[in-house]
Amino acid sequence: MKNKKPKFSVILGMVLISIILLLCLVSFFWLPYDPDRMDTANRFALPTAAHLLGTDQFGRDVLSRIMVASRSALLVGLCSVSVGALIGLVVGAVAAMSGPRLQSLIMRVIDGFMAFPGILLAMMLVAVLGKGQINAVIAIGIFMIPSFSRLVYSMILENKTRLHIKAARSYGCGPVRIVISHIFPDMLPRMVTQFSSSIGGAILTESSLSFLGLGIQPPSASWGMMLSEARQYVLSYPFIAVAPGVVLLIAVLGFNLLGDGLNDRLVRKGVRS
Amino acid sequence: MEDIILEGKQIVKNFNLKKEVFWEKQKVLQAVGGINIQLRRGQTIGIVGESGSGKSTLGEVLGGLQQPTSGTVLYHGKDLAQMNREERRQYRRNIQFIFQNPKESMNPYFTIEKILTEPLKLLDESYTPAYARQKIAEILPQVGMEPDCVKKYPSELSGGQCQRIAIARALLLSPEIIVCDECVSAVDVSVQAQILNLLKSLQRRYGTSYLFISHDMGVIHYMSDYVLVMVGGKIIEQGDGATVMSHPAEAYTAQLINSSLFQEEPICAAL
Amino acid sequence: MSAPVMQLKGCTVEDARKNILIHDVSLEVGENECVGIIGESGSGKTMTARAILGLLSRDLKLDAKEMTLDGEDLLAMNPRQKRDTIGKKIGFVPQNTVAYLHPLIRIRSQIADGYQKAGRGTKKEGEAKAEKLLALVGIHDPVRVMNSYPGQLSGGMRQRVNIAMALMCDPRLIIADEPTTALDCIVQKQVTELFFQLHEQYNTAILMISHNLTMLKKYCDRIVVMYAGQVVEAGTTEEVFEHPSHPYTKALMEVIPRLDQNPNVPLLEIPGYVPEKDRGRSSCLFADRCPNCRPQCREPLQINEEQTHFSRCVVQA
Repeated sequence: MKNKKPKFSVILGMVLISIILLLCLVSFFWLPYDPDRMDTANRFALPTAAHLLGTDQFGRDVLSRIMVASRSALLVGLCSVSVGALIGLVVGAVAAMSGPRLQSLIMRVIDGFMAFPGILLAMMLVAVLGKGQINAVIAIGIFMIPSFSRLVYSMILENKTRLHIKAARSYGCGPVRIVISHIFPDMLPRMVTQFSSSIGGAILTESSLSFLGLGIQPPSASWGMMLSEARQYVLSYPFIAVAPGVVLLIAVLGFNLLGDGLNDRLVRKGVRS
Repeated sequence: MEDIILEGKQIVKNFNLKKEVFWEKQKVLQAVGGINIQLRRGQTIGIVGESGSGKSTLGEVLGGLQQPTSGTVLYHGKDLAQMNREERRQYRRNIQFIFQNPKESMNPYFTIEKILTEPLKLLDESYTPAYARQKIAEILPQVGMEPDCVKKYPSELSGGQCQRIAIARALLLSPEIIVCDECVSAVDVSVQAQILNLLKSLQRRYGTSYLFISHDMGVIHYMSDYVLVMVGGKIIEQGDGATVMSHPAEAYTAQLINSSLFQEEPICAAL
Repeated sequence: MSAPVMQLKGCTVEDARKNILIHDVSLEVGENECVGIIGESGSGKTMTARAILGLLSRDLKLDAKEMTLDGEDLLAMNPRQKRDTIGKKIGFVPQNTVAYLHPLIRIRSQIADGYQKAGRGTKKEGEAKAEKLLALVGIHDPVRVMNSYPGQLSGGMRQRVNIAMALMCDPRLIIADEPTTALDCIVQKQVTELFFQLHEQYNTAILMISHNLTMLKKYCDRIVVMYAGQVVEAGTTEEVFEHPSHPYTKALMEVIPRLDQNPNVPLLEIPGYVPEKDRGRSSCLFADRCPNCRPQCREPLQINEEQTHFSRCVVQA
């Protein structure tokens, strides 16, 4: 690689993600106010020195609530994508390494999943599993499986015909070992990229679920729920919708930019070497 | 006979071609059509043919990388399809491959050490890390490589050096048979001579049998005791190496030889 | 000898890190002459062809004392003129028959491209000529081939199409870079013969790059042997093959197993590998692998550049 300078999008992505991470980490040690403490005398306050991002309809401090909510956003994002990536990896690998019949069966099922709009699938799953944070993780995780398994599947098929895989089989490598030790290193850059981009998507989906009241339940704070609550008052007090919206934007944009940037750096580099 | 170590009986290998529409009748390409072959200890069988003649497929079927559509592969008289786990492992261990493109036959993310250790780990029951290191240190000088190359990656070595490593990998398990699938066609002529001489001297030392697949008549002639000429998945001529090359019985063989020499005059006995 | 069709003197190519890839290569192709370049991979033979064709990638730096094509000085031209001249006067036949033809365009639509570009005639005329040429290169049903996509043709057929394409502009010189390496033995011979029939018929000069000694010996008038980016020996085919004077040339002829080789005698080996670095030095690049290396080989060599049978070796065997 001649161009060692990290790309602008990677840097911007990292900066945005570190803002969110910082909010999350600080929330464990210090919060401006108790996020659940109501102060009815001081409702719908505009940003002041006392309340940096103002207060909501119950007079709760918006900054404190955003900080607390960032924990669950990141947790749900990370966990659900991990679940999706792990299951997707296994499903994709099994499909790619098995015979033609099983292979087409698995892939048609995956295609079926992909045909559903993601949020609809997640809503259906929540309707079946019930509301709550863990169920949101499961729902979003399942919704992440198809994209990961397709990626893994296509990459294994691409790699399977390469000569060093044939050589590995000639000295007794079984299919599991081939995938794990021979093909996986080749897939890793694209997996990392996909992982990063998917976290953005997962956070957005979690917010949508919470917005619809199907995700994290009150009184716990969540960005989507904050937006949903703000919706009723947005005409009279426009400011209360701004802060959670912007934070959500920062998080999703950050992960997507990082994913894009990593894609350019890692994947292209892999192709060259 | 006692010393036949690998035998193929009526080997057929078909490939299903891709259908253009799904109700179409399945079309089949016959890559290998009913071939009998017997490989003895210390013998080199040369398989020569043009691309698409099925010579590589035959090698892979005999080496257990592909299932034959019909026919049997016998290793020390035992049918490959009926082997138990342990017997299969012994077979796997005793038949190794050297492929055409040495660089592509190694995982680019592995160091030479890891590339050489892996077969030992998988197939050698006395494997320990120390044992592997010792084995590798023993084998590298034999293929003409410095022992300090183990920390390198395949991309840091030249094509000829990589082919030596590939030979070392095949030799590590002291196999009875090595299938050389076009193993010198991707290396330069000066390196080709080194590799061929190396293979020959190793054969003299260890009594290894080779299944030597190539399209180059000169190389086949130099390496083989016994030659099979393949066209369209069938053997059209076979016999003692020197005889086939100097007195080909089939017009096709003569044409192959002439073409490789850019000669006009038929040197075919039958013509 | 009459005026050379193509002359190259003192050609050096460097990459962006100042590594010398080919060093001081001089090459001459006379009228109606067939010159063969022999060398292993990495010897710079393809690089030399690309330098002549103006196809070097941008990060490589070309430096030459003289570069003329059919009497015109290529070095004095601007890139556009140079491209036009090369396009009109040189036909190129590549090694890789697949990559040189666009896979999604019918032969009909790509074969006459250069012809039109050179302003030789209309598309129709081009196609008519292409059909004739395809018949000439031994294709029995030119019309079918013209209407095919490259993927529908075999390797031998594609190479014939490439040859016909190279002939479209009645070039003064055909440069063929390992034109038959990718082909099967029998087709290889057919295609090679075709080349030299055309050579006789059209009096086109040919620069043939190959590592197949047997082929070059049979068909070429003069041979240039390249090693590690340098010309190590050059002379008529007879001189080079009957009285090789550079040890590398001698070794090259010995290492290939011939059909009359005794299988019990080990082949001659050239120990070691082709040097990658320090190719610009003036001492012998082959010294480390040479069976006949003398102390003076480590010193800068005094080479008579003008001798007809050129050899970059000072040791008289």
